[in-house]
Amino acid sequence: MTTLNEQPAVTPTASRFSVQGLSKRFGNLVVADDIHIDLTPGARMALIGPNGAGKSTFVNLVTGLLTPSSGRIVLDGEDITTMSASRRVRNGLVRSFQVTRLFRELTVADNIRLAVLQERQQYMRLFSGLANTPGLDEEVQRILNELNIRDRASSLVHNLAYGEQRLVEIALVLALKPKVLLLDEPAAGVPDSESDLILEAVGNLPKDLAVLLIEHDMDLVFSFAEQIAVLVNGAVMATGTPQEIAHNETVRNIYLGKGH
Amino acid sequence: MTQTTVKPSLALGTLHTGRLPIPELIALVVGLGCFFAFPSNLGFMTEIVIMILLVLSLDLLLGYTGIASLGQAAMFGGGAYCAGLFALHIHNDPLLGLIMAALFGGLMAGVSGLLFLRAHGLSFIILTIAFGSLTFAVANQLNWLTGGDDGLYGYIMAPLFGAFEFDFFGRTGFLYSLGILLVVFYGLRRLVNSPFGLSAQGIREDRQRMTSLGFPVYRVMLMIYIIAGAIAGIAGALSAQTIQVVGLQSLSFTMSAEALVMLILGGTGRLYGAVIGTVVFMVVHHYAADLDPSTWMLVIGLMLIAVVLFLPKGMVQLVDMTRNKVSRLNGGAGHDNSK
Ligand SMILES: Nc1ncnc2c1ncn2[C@@H]1O[C@H](COP(=O)(O)OP(=O)(O)O)[C@@H](O)[C@H]1O
Ligand SMILES: [Mg+2]
Repeated sequence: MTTLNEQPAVTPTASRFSVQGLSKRFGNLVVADDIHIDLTPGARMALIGPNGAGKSTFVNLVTGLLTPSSGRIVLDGEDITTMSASRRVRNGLVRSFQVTRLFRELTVADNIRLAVLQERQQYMRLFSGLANTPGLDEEVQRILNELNIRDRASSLVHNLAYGEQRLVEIALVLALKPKVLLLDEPAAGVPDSESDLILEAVGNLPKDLAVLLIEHDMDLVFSFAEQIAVLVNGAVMATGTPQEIAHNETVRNIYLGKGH
Repeated sequence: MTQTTVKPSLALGTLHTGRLPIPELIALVVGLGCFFAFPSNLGFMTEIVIMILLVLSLDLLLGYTGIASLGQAAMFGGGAYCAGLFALHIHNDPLLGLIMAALFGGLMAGVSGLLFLRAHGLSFIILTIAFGSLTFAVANQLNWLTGGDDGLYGYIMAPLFGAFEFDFFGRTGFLYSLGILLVVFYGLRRLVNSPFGLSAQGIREDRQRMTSLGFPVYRVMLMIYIIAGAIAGIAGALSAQTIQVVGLQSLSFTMSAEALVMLILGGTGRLYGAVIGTVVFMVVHHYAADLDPSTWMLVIGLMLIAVVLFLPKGMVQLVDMTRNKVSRLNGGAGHDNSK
């Protein structure tokens, strides 16, 4: 690795989010093997790789749900490797879940409301009604409209179709106004009839947001990504533009060829 | 987009409602009705009111935040001893004593919660049980302070507001307790419908998801735990002040466990579930125990089984079902919880 004083030109703003030499082992199993990833503001990167490659583990590691064995995670020039999971989110590093994790017994609006309350730091209001919380409902409205789920606002989440639940999942992360967004297979489990909704939502993400998309659907990956990283057995095997990856022999053999 | 109509919150689909003190007014009317209808049962009715407060504190923990505790009596008994000792040695004004007990209950919860809330699920329950036995043992050991087995007595409360003597029939005691219950109930209702209350419910639904939304989950839970401790302390103080004696049983495991049974019976996560459950449990206990000391356990046991099997949301489910039926008969006006 190059030392820092050899590269004074690299300003912290050039990289919004960078993962440096991240490793994690469970016993003998290496699930993250010296991973380096760098996202600039507005980046559109996809992380692909076969099942069990360690993609979700990578997200868990950088968001603080798992502790890495070694490596550094830097957000906006600040080392966040040991920061608590919730503070990373407050600093702008936000993820969605591969398997939907929502507040199932609450309404769609209340789900989004929770995210907005955190983002606006209004959740410590102990005795004022939700309806009297300044700006809260306007913001919830805005997000409901943005994702076209306005008419589901009053439904309990567990009464929604799975595709709609995935949209709520995206609504939650957007409500947090992230700087870096890690989307873990947003279209997983969504029937084809509803996958266009997800495609559209992912396509409409704010331009200055740095996004890392984990996805199996190659149409989605190639229409979205400007850069692709291929993860195999916990290690980044190749990175490049979609063109380069599509023509990379090894990638084709290991991954793209296998009917995905 | 610009939906600036009257009730944005309802328009936006929340289950939360209500600033008007309608439930409290209803409770006031019922309470006063009982006051005049059963003048010879005021002591028992005061006990019910106090128990409702304890069960409400548990509902805030379990029903709204998903924190199951079997040690809420620690804060109840702590508040009771605090109020008793305060009256005995410092000042016998009831409201002053009540405030001290609330602070003490909150303090006990704060100190224990700081440690225990790092644990989850069963481990947490065990820790609360341990804390309960610990406080019981300490109160027993500090004989010189607490009176140990004999209980703490010998203090006389000053008149409420300097005007209303605590009379032999318990009239003042009942109205005082009822008044405090209504105030706490209103405060709790505001609390559970606030942004903070919604955050508590988020924690109940999925703690880790709340972390991934950026919430400092531990800190929010600690605050809830402290508030619940303060309410349990208030309940304990009322007990100390109206009976004018504090016994070790106020710290007992039985107390914690019965409070939990009352809550499950009535229904968690609904404030009036705590009220219904407590009233039913206490009344059954009172009358069935008159017949034969073992009968009431049988009756309560059967009731609990029936509720858990057939009304998993507690007895409030019966109220909901009736209400839905009525609103359907009225031409499906939907339910109207807010008015
Ligand atoms: N907590 C854990 N303990 C042990 N092994 C784990 C744990 N979590 C994940 N793994 C293993 O790590 C590997 C990577 O899993 P995962 O990150 O879910 O892969 P992907 O998301 O790429 O499909 C798998 O072999 C999985 O069995
Ligand atoms: Mg995965």
